[in-house]
Parts: sequence; C-alpha cells; structure tokens
Amino acid sequence: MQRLIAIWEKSYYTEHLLVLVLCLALTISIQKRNKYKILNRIPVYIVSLLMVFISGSVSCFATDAKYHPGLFSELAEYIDYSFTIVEMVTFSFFYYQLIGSLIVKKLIIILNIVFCLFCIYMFFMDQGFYQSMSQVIQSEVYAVEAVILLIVCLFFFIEMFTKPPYIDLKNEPIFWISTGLLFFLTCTLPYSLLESHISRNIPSFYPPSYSIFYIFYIFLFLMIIRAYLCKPEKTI
Amino acid sequence: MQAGKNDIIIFLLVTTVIILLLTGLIIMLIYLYKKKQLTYQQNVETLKLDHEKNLMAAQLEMQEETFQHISREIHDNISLSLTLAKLHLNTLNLQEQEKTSFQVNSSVELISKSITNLSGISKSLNSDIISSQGLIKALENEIQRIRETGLFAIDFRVTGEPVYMDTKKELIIFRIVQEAFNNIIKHAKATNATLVLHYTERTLGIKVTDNGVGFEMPGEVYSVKNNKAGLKNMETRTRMIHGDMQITSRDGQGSVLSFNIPF
Repeated sequence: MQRLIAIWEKSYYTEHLLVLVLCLALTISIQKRNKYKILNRIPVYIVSLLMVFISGSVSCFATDAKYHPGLFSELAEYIDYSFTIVEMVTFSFFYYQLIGSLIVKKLIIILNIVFCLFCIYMFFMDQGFYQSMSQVIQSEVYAVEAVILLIVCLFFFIEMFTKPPYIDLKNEPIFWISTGLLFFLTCTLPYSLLESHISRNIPSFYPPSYSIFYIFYIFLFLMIIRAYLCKPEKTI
Repeated sequence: MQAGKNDIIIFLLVTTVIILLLTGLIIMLIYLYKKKQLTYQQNVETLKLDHEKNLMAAQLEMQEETFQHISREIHDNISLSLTLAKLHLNTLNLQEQEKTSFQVNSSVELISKSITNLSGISKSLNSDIISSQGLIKALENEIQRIRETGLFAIDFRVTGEPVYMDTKKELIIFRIVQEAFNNIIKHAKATNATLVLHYTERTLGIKVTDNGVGFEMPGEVYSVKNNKAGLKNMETRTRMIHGDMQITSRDGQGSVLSFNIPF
C-alpha cells in the first residue's frame, strides 16, 4: 500500500484523476451506447485500460504476498503489453469504418497484421519475457503503435478536409475523438522514444515524467466524453 | 546532475512546443474548415436558386408549348372543319333537295369530327385520369387514341411489378411519352412503334422505338444538346424528376428513346 501511495505521489496523482475520468467515460459510453454505432467498441477499450490500472494496483499490493510475489507484477506487465494491441485494433477498426479510400482501408489491415506480428516477435525477443517485460521493449512497441495510428489519423483528417464540408465539426463525435487521439499520440511519442534514456540517466525524473501519459490519456478520454455528448448528426 | 537537469528542461521545452504547435494546427484547421464550409453553403444556395429559376423557366416553357399545341390543333383541325360546315350551311338552297341533303349531311359529319377532335384534345390534356387510374391506364388510353388515327401500329408492354408513384411524377412521365409519340406522328413517318415500361426495384425504364426515318446525330448515342424544342422539353421534364434520357437514331433506321426514372 505504501508503495502504491508513493507511486501516486510521484505522478502527482494524475493516475487517480485518469481512473476517475475512465469511470466517468465508461458510465457515459454505456448510457449512450445506442447513440452512435461507430463508438460501439469504446467501452471495451475503456474497460481494457481500467484492467491495466487494476492489475497494476493489485501487483503493488501483492509484492508482499507469500506465494509467487512476482506473479501479479508479471501479469500486470503482460496485461499492459496486451493493451497496446487492444488500443491499436480499437482505433484501427474505428478509422477503417470512417475512411472511404479503399487503398487506405487495405493499408490499415496490412499495418494491423504487421503490428500484431511485430508485437509477438518483440515479446519473444525479450530475453526475460517469461519473468517480466522489459521497459525498452514496451516503449518500442508503443512507439511503433503511435506512429501507425498517427498515420491513420492523419489520413482521416486529410479525407475530412478534401471532401465537401457538410459536417458540423462541433457536433461531430469523430472529430473530437480524432483530435484527442492526435494530441495523445503526438505528445506521448517523444516520451516513449526517450523513456529508456530517462529511466537509465535520470531515474528520479522517470515516475513524474510518466504522468505525461496520464495527462494526455485524460485529455483523450475527455474528448471521448465530449464525443458522446454531441447532438445527433446535423449536416448543412 | 547538471546534465540530468538540462535533459529534463529540454524534454519539457520540446513537449511544450509540440503541444503549442499542435493546438495552433488544430485551431487553424478548424478555421479553414469553417471558411470552406461557408463558401460551400453559399455555393449550395446559389445552385438551389439557379435550379429553382431553371425549373420555373422550364415550367413556363412547357405551359407555352401546351398552349401552342392547343392553338395548332384548333387551327389545323377544328377551325377548318367548322368553317367548312358553316360554308355548307350558308350556301344551302332549299329548292335543290339533293344538294341540300348532301350539304346538311356533310356539315353534320364535319361538326361531329370537330367534336371528336375537341374531345380528343380535352382527354389528352386532362390529367385527372392519372390521379384516378394511374399512369399505365392513362398510357393505354393515349395509345388507343393514337391507334384510332390509323397512322401507325403501336405495341405497348409492361414488364416487372408496377409501382405507383406520386401523381405529379406520373403526370410528367405521361407528358414525356405523349411528346415522344407526337414527334413520331409529326416527323418519323413510321409504320410501327413500341412502348415498353420496365419496372425494377428502384427505377422505371421507359423505351419508345419506331421504324421511321430517324435523324442524324453526332456519335451513336446522343446526350441531348440540340435545339429541337420537343426533345428539349422531354429532357427538361426528365431532369425535373431526376431521371436521365438517351436517344439513339440514324438516318433511315428509326429511333430509340430511353428514359431511366428513379422512384
């Protein structure tokens, strides 16, 4: 428990705030699940992220466990690693439904297959994967995911601006989610590229710097909440 | 220690710059999108106004055509017959019984012919039959009227499951087919004509063919750019109901008019 509180303090309680925002987003997404069919998979994504935090918190509590004290920590890391794939698939499917270009759709499928294979390859490349996941491997995998999703997100924005401008941006849920995702990916990518350098050379800065992820996740989920609160489709 | 602090400062600076750039980019994109939307809205309004103007002009033109058609029919057929009947009756000489009898019978025939012509014009212009009996029945009556003139044989076929459309739309379709047959009567010198209505799930296909003299067009399929008023009328009417029209014709080889009307 002390360890958990210490982690929270070092991240300026942003993890707390994120969990609160996640719970709010989950409530709203379940309440309004029939409003926008395109957002059907968002509750699954939110629950997956909550599982990551729950498993992380449980692993902190279980460090003093008599039997298999490292088991929960390993599980938490595997869940965190798997979440990267869930995140990739959720947003890829989201944009697959939105983007009209057949070439981009095929590209999304190919990138997803390549990414999944890459994840599996990196998992087994990690020499100690059966004991715990290396932070370097996780950062690299996340960086690749971020680049792929950024490309897909940018394709969506390009298509949106080249088509006739008949949608009302203020009431368009897709716009809000894409903006949130763009901010999240762009602002966390530099950190994930520098993560191993920070953890090696400035270990004291590592926990507070990780709060960048939480801050931009909060922003992303606030955008998702805003998306759900949009009024039904209004075109000009 | 100092190197570590520098790294932190650089890292925070870079992140702040990225956030600011991204915020600026999103604001600029929203501004440009709104501007594009405003221009698009203005273009749509202009197009709507233009379309309404064209529609009104087309409707006035069609009205004028109808009045001219009535005027021509009255002048060419009815006026002549009644003038002749009047002439016969004016020159009656009761003393010449045989001649008088012939003149009276002739006048009766001419007046009957005028009544029939007037009745025919009235029926062909009356749109009540569309609202009461539908398009197919109205076309059957029109074809029967043309058959009675003996000018050419007409084969009428309906395929697919008939769909009843809005009365106004059916009236426009009726006028299109009427115009097509008027053209065959006036110009084609045909001996046979066919009218096929083909109903599908979403569209009505109309095909009018004749074995007349045809006319020369650039290319095999003509997308209606000439100045012939009848054809132009048909094209305008077809566009009014969001359909499309194709004409295929060659000198001496008859004509085929095809229309595709969505429900």
